[in-house]
Amino acid sequence: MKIDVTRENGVVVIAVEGEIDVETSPQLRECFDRLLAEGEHSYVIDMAGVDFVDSSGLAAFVTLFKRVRIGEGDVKLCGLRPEVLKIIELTRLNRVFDIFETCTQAVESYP
Amino acid sequence: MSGAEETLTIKSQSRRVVTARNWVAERARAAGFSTEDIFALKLAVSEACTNIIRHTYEGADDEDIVLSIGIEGDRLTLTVRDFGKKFDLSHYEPPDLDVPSEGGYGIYLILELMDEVEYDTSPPEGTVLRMVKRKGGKR
Repeated sequence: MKIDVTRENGVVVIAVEGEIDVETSPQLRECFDRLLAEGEHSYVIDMAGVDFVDSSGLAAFVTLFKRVRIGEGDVKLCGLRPEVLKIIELTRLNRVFDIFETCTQAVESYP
Repeated sequence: MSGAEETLTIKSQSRRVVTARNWVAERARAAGFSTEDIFALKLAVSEACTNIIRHTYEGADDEDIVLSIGIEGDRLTLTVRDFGKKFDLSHYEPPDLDVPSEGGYGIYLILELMDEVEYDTSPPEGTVLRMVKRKGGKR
């Protein structure tokens, strides 16, 4: 799994490539921990390069969401392939995360 | 390979889960299952192995997980066997989907994505999780 972090208009964009599972999700959690420690609170997770995500990955996203909400931030997702979107919908996490087709749309949705 | 059963044994290590996932995906792909079905199978086997590693073997990394696949026509039967403490599905509580959770989605996803799911605790040791995915089955 590859993680690339950039910043656009005050929003942290985390582009993930590869498969997110029980083995790789700790890398994602470490990345989230580091960014939270830096005080970041507006996130877009670009999933265009994610082929697979399991419940370990979903749990990492929910953990980030809960922690940023304390600081009135948000976590938005973009670029989900249909199979990944289905998992998000099955777990009803589409009610938690705003979901966008493109990264640009997700970034521009922040005020 | 239709009709023949194949098996794979992995150690109870999280880095081995991808091996199980790819092994299942290759066989489902060769049998003509759709991209959506293959994703569901990959997810089911990942969740099953992860649960065994975390909860059945409680992190012990030298235990065995035995997978088998049999394909007959449009029906793929996948079993995931462990040799640890038995899992009783009747004690399973589904997640409250109205509250975002940091865990507990694994079995729920297996039940949602597979056409048939059975936890067999009759072997002397461990549990056999038997799952069936049919082409054009549950969506």
